Amino acid sequence: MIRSRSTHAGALDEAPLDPAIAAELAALDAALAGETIEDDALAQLVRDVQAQAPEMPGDLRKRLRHEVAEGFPGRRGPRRSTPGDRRRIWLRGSGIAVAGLATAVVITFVLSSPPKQSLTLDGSPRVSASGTDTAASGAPSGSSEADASTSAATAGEPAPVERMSSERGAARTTDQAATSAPSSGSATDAAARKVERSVDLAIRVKSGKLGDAVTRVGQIARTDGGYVATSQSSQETRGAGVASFTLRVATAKLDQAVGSLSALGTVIHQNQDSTDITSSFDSVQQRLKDATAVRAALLRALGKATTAGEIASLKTRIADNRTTRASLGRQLAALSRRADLTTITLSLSAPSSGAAAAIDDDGSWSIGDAARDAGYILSTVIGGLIVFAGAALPFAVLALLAWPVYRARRRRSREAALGA
Amino acid sequence: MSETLSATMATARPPRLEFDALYRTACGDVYAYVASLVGDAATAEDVTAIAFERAYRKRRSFDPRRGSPRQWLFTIARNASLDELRRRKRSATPIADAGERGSIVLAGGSAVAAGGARATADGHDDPAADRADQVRTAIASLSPRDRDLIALKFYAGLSNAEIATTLGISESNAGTRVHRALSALREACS
Repeated sequence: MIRSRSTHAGALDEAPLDPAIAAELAALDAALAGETIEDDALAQLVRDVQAQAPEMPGDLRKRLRHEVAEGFPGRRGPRRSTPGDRRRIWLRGSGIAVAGLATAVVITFVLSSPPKQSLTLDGSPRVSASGTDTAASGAPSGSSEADASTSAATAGEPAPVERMSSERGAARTTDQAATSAPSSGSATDAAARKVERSVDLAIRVKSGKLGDAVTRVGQIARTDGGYVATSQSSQETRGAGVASFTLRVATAKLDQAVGSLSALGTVIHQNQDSTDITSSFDSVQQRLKDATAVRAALLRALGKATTAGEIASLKTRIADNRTTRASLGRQLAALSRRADLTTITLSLSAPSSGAAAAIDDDGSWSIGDAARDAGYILSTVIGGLIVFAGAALPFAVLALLAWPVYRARRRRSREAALGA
Repeated sequence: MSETLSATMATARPPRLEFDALYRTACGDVYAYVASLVGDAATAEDVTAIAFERAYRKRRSFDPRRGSPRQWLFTIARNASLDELRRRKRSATPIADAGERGSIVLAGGSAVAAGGARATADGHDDPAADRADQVRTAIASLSPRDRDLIALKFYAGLSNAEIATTLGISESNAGTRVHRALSALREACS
């Protein structure tokens, strides 16, 4: 008795075949196998039906035989592959895979590597502190500086500029101070020239060393009468941070100060401007001399005055003269301070501990840097793959669930063709 | 079913599909089965070629644990035939019209022309030819599903279990269907 092997087709499928049906099917199988059976009618039917089997045309048999032997070369898809073919396919596939991987790595590196010149800090919680250091002795008031600036501006002097720039330690210096001096026949000696200087400096310090660098900046600035005009710093939890300063240091000690500041880390940007204010200084100085001479003349005239009207008039002019000389004196002092003290705008930055590994200290690219870059790229690629896998997982699950449905629908569609 | 085929089926299943041997033992039966489904010679030739090509492409995915090579091959041939029938259905081409594309040469040497007209080798009627006509008409009168089962049984030579695997049904269900188709055929021939 034939029983069902399947358990999923329903109760009807589980039912055993009727013995008569099973016997007839067994007889049919025997007849199909060429055995002699008792049911002559069935045996004859088997012979007749088998005699009606459509015969395969000879040319089709020959053509198919050839195509099977050749691996269906004339049809779409690969022909039968030989070991050489498989080797070539394997090599080609490997090459494509390696090229794709290399392209992905390069793209990932380009997209994910932090910029060399500007340090990107992550968004972790910040601890900020800012302040203005005005405690240094001799710090000029802002109003006097403003007055001096206004005076210099109104003097209409030409502004010869000396500029020195340096990017990442590759010094590019242009000293135009000597050649840019006015050639109008001024008798002022080059040594006595008044030059206002300003320096922009950006320095990268090691991760976690920003606090020490900030302390050291204050010490450097206060040497030889300098001071910290403004300061601002922020530090993050992973050793990263930024700080900015406005320093006023003695011009005579500028090179020494810049050298000391540069020693704090890697100079990633340096720019120096110089403006010759000698003309303004000489002008104000000359006007002050003139006012002093006028005062002397007024005093002499006052000594010779006899009437009350003359005396009152001279006293008024002497008072005005005093005001003028005081103003000129302040302007002269401000110009002198601008020449004697240089403004240094300093930026300090410290990368996070993770990013610090990807940034070299001296600008060169060593094998260690390459290994770090490779590790960084690898971790980035793996991270990207994990993200991709996470994003693709729901779709993969859906596809997995939909596959049996698709198979069932396709089977039903095919079976429906028999009902046409 | 030929002796070579029986010997092939009796031997232990090889770990890898011997496609050449499978082709040699089954090509004629595949054509007969396909022709009985699609109904015309030209389409039967195309579908037979497609079936063998599909089988060749998929030969590495053949799993002996899921069935015999012959059953696997006829499943592919059946799917290819049904795809052709579906395509016809979509393009609204009647099977009768498609049958006009060519005649199917029968094993006995006679030919079935379009419309089912018969011609013997010597041009004279004889009892054998009449009987062949009767059987042919009986087969043609079966429903497509019954004709499919008869072809799977008589031309493909599949066992009930293999037919069940091919159709995706249980073995007892396959036996019942085969018996039903056989009864219909016997009735049509009587």
